[in-house]
Amino acid sequence: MQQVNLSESRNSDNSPVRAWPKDDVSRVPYWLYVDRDLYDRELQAMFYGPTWNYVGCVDEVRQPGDYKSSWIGERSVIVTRDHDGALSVLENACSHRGTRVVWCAKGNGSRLTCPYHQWSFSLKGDLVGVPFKRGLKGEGGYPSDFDTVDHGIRKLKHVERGGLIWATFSEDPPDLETYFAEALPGLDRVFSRPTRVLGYQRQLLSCNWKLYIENLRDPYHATLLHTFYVTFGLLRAGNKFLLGTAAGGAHSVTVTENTGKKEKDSTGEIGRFGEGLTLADPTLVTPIPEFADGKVTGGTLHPSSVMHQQANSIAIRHLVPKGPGQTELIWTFFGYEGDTEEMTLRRRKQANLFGPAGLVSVDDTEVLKFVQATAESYQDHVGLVEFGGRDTADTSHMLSEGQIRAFYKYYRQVMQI
Amino acid sequence: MSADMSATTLDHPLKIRVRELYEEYFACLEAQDLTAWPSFFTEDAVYLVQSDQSHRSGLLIGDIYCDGIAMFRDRAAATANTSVHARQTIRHFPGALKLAARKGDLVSSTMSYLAVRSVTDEAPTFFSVGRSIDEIAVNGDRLRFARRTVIYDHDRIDNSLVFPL
Repeated sequence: MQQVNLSESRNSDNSPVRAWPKDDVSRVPYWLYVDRDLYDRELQAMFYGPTWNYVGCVDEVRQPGDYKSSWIGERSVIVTRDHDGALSVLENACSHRGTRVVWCAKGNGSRLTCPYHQWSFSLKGDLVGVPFKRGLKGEGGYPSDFDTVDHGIRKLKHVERGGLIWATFSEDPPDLETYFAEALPGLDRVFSRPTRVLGYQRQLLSCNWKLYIENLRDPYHATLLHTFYVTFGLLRAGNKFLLGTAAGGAHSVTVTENTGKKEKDSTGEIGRFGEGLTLADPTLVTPIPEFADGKVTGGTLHPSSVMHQQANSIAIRHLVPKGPGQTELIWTFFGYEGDTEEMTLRRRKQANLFGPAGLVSVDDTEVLKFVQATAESYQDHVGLVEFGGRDTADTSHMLSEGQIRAFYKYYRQVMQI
Repeated sequence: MSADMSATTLDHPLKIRVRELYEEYFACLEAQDLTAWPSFFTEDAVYLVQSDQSHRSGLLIGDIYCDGIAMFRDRAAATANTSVHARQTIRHFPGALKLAARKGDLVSSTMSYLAVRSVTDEAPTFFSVGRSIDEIAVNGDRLRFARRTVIYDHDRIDNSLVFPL
């Protein structure tokens, strides 16, 4: 990190105009993780804009009448399965006074009823019941031109693909294939067979949502912060990587190999490396062969989703921003329909690497909290992102921050900053 | 002592021994003595930490899962040797203890808990509150958990869960 002179120009109230520090993406200003106005603009332009957001999966709403609540940005939404089998994604807000209609994580029923004034809606969001619609004994009620057809809950555009459900607040979104672009094959590769939810992990990160996205686009830290990976042989700095981006930097695609064997080269720089540590139960990190190509894949799917397939662990991580300095992370872990008991056990064991108690992930959440703390108190400082160069090209090694730069190239275009 | 009627059908010394097991277990966690932590479990013990929501849904995956003593040792070694985290102290306050009838060498037990975490430079927080549903093996040289399921009442973990519960 180094201090730079920000633009000399001033707003009318004499506060400094916040400008990008350098005309490339090798520097990232710290106010980017703190500024409330910017955060609100991100919600509008990204989370509520023409983007596709993970809201759940078909296994969660398998039966007719099933519904679940989910999130896009800070907004609560409802995913429903109607009795005719149709999926809907609805705003979780009553069309009358805005009360959140569904208060629980999951439910089943033939109607969604708002508790405040008992307005009831079909599972497709149509208004089907209004108490005292025409008043009582000729008194009160709604005007004669009131029509329930005009007052359904807003329905969001959505797409189901490979068992995952994606939704958008945009009325005119790009189609999903165009949107995910080069990131789509990686998603299809993992979600090509019917999946079952094995469980969830939820945690409230003490950092801006972009810091988490950056963390996933930062292979530099992988062998340095996560000594677990190196110690137990999951990863080494010399591993072959494909670090790519999609749709102009919006999404990232990371492909590597799980060699599954402890190797000691390229670990000389790592101070905390624990010599002689071996796993008593190696199945914690060792996969049962599952994908013919032997690859380990992951990627960020802008703005709110992350896919991972590491060893036999398969998950979607759902980012729910809770203000500039906090982000909820909801991990949904999957298995495939027809998994053997041995495979299910392996997936359960390997979930230990992830989430709030993850033997790897804990390091990230702890570190990101202290990046955020610095950003909040040193807002005029900038972060340095020029490892591996200043460009945004794909690389075949992990010694680059190119995926972060690619994200900010995309980000600056969308945010016009 | 709990006023629970089912406990009165058990011999008093056993209930005292179970309460001592919990006290020793929490003392081990408070001391962050990860080397000793696995010794509170039987060789084939199963340990799961998950939210009440996940527990009620019967979900297999939670935040921590150990199946067999090797996994306890691996988690202990990894946390002690490879984990990066802020210095913190976690106090465990055991609550109501309820014993169910003994079946052979196993006693089923439910214990509520409150865990308060103090992280460097921060005010303490009610970090986790919930209960555990346990099966305790009473046939060894000391009582050990054969199955321990920690079910927290809240839906999410504040930042991270570095140490077991």
